[in-house]
Amino acid sequence: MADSDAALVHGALNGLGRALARIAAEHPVNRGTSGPDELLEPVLASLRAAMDKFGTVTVAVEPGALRFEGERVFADDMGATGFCSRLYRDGIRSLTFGRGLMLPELTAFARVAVPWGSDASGDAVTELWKADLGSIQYTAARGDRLDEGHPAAAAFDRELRELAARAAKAVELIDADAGLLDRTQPPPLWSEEQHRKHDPQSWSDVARRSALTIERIVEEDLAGWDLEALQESFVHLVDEMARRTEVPALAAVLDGAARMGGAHAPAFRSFVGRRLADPQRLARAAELATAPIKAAAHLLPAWTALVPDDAGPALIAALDVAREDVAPALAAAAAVRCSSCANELADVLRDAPPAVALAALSALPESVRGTFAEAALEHADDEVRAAAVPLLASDERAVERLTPLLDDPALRLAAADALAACDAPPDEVAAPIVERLSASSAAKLSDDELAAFYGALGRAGGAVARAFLSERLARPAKGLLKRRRMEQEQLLAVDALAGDASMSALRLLEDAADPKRGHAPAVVSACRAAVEKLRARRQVREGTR
Amino acid sequence: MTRSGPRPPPPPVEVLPDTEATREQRQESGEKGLVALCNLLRNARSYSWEHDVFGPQLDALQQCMLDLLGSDGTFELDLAGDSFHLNGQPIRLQPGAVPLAAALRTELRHRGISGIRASLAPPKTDLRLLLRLFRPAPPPRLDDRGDPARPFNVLRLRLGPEAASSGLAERTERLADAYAAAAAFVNQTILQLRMGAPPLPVRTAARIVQDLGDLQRSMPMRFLALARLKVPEGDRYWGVHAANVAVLAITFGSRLGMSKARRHDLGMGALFHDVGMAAIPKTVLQKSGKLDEKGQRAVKASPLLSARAILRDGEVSAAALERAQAAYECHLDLVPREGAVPEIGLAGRILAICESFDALTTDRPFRAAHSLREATRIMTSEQLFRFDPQLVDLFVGVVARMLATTAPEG
Repeated sequence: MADSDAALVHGALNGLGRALARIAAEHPVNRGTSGPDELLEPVLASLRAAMDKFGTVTVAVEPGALRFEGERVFADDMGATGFCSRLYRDGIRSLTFGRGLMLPELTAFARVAVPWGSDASGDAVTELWKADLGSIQYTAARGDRLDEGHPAAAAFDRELRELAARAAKAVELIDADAGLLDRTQPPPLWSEEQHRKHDPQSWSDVARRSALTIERIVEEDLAGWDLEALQESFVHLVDEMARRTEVPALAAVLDGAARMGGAHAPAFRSFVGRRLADPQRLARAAELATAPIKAAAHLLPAWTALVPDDAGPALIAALDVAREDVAPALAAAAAVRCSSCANELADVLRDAPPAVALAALSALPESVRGTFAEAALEHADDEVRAAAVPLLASDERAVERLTPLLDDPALRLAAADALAACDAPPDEVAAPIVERLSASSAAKLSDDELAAFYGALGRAGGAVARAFLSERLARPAKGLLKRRRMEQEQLLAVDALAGDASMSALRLLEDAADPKRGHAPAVVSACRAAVEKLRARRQVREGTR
Repeated sequence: MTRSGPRPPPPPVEVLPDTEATREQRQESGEKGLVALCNLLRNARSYSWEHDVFGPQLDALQQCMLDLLGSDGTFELDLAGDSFHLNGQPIRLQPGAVPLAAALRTELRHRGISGIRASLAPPKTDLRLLLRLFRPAPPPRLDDRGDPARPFNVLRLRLGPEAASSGLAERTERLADAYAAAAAFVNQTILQLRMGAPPLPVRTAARIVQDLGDLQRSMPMRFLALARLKVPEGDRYWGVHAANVAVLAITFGSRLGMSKARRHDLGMGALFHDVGMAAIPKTVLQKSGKLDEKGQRAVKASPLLSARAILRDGEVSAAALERAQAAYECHLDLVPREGAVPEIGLAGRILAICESFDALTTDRPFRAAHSLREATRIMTSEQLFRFDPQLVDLFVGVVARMLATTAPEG
């Protein structure tokens, strides 16, 4: 071969080697600035030029090198981890490039030689065979036998020989191939469209079914000594689904894992949950949850339901990268695991966007609500603070904590309600409310606030509250300008006493219902109605007994 | 290490004086004829050689021959190195036709044909017979008049040394080897799993299935006839059964028009579909009477155990997952008596049919083998709830019928 011809072929093959090595170096997803096509296009031109001249070009594959007519045309810097070694290891011994080579074929070949993604994880010979590339042929070492060193090799060969003799005997008399083919070579039974319909070949679909199969194996206690391997496989599937943005499949398999039964289910969930709590995976989950599809809404709840109790810090860390519409779900999941992230969660309750803080507040376990509610009271947003107030009712020092809030116009209503709901002795609850209703500043309370305070007194009950209510019923303030207000307070007192529903309250109402007391007709009517209601209730209660 | 470099051109033929006009005419006719031949080859993989679809291309090829016979008095198409010569003149092709020409070259070489000649106007029947040579399964032997069983009247072939033998004996031996390797692979895999030893490499199975796939295309009837092989020994049953299922499934997939890769998936699913049997005690598998509750439970668990043996490897490629799912889903009823309707992929539905067909036609410890006719009757009536009705109809109508013709008495 002339020197110029040799240089042409060497250049083309060296270019191919370098392009593949570069794709391999930038493998797998981080394909850098250049996509494989971009790297292969110049190579294609030089390969075509060589093939136009020689028709076909055959290159020998060696571990770490490509050789053309005995001369090394490419040395793989990556050595044993490079594509030459991979091809050689898998059994490829030579590659022949023929005329008509197109970019899609070269890209398909590159995908086999330096697989990116997980599609081409089989051996190179199988992948090349499947790819069925018309212009790229290969020769391979024999691979249909076990290596000599394999413990089953001898038995395999022995059995193969025996069966091969029988198989040869079974078919030697069949000579129908030519004749039958003539008659039975009609078009395929299915059209392209039918294939697409019946065999969608969706990775997402088969991966989802496989993950559910793993769950079923575990659920039926059939995992045996493969439990750990199956757990790993399940996590691989989840990772791959996440990488491929297969959100519906992910949500379905995680939901299935959360619901699965069986003796080994808790161990399986614990293993998977620990992996799901990995910060990078959580960040990816937060990203996937923003996908513009319906299933995305289910992803984070399904994902976080599996993460372990000590994953609070990781969940809170994921808030930093989560979009604002998915952050509340993460915050809620962290709140459920507040014991592992008390300080971080308190910070979230103090400083996070209102929606995030509200989600965390609503997800707090009941036993610790009061503790964390105080942090939320420091939040700048009134809605968050108002949402935190009712949580204080469950706190042991509820009265002490809620009393100052009665003076905060933004929280007054919630504080009164929370006081009424707390477990403290009734008189302790009523005292601060009575104090505020008795103060001169009470005149500035709005109708809603007044109603809330009186309502709280009614629900709290107790001697202090009843004494105050009785006083308000009996001695309304004088003065023409204050009449409407006093009548309103009297009516609220009636409602409060009705709410109290004690015998003492009933007596007070009966007394006030007497027209001789000189109350306004509206108050008298309200008292009568309340009395009737309470009596009826008592009768029912006594009748029941 | 060799490279297919330029070969010496064929000896010049006696033609009319070579003027620029005749060269151009030869180039034009030759290009049309080659393109027609390439298109014929391409469609010959999908349609019967007698199909009407070839009409226009056969016309074009015939016209090219007539033109050259008219101008040069002969038609001699020769494969010289990597180019085609027509009556001694190299024919240039448009870039779009280059890949087709490469395929034509490969097919001609595969059959040992290095040239096509005619000194008289060839009839259409000869062109059809030429087309017949390009079927996936070539005739076992060729001579200068094509297939001796259906010789040309006018056309003649120039044959290379490869054409003397089509390698039928070698291919039959390869077929028997590939089939036996498939069965031995499954049996040894089950044995290894029983002992808790490392399983056999999946890539070995992949290579075996490649061989099966290639051989199915070149000798479909001998290939299918392998599914008639049955073994009486209990221990060998699972391997031979799996190999038979692979043969049936690859054949069925091929007839459906599935891609090479999908046929490979089917074959792999077939080989692994019963490896879960490794977890079932031999006493249960070889019991002749009705199984007790424990035995029934064990057999019922085997599909999940097959899937477990594959899924534990942690592979997430589509092929590996398909293999696991097909192995599991082929044992599920399409319409179960109770519970939700399961999701079953196409591979699982095909394997279910092939698996049942082979099992029904094999002697088992608990019953004798059914005849092919009886087996198909059972599958299309009593067991229809298990299968995709459309697929089972196609299988019975095409694959089972083809298999019936391979019977020694048939």
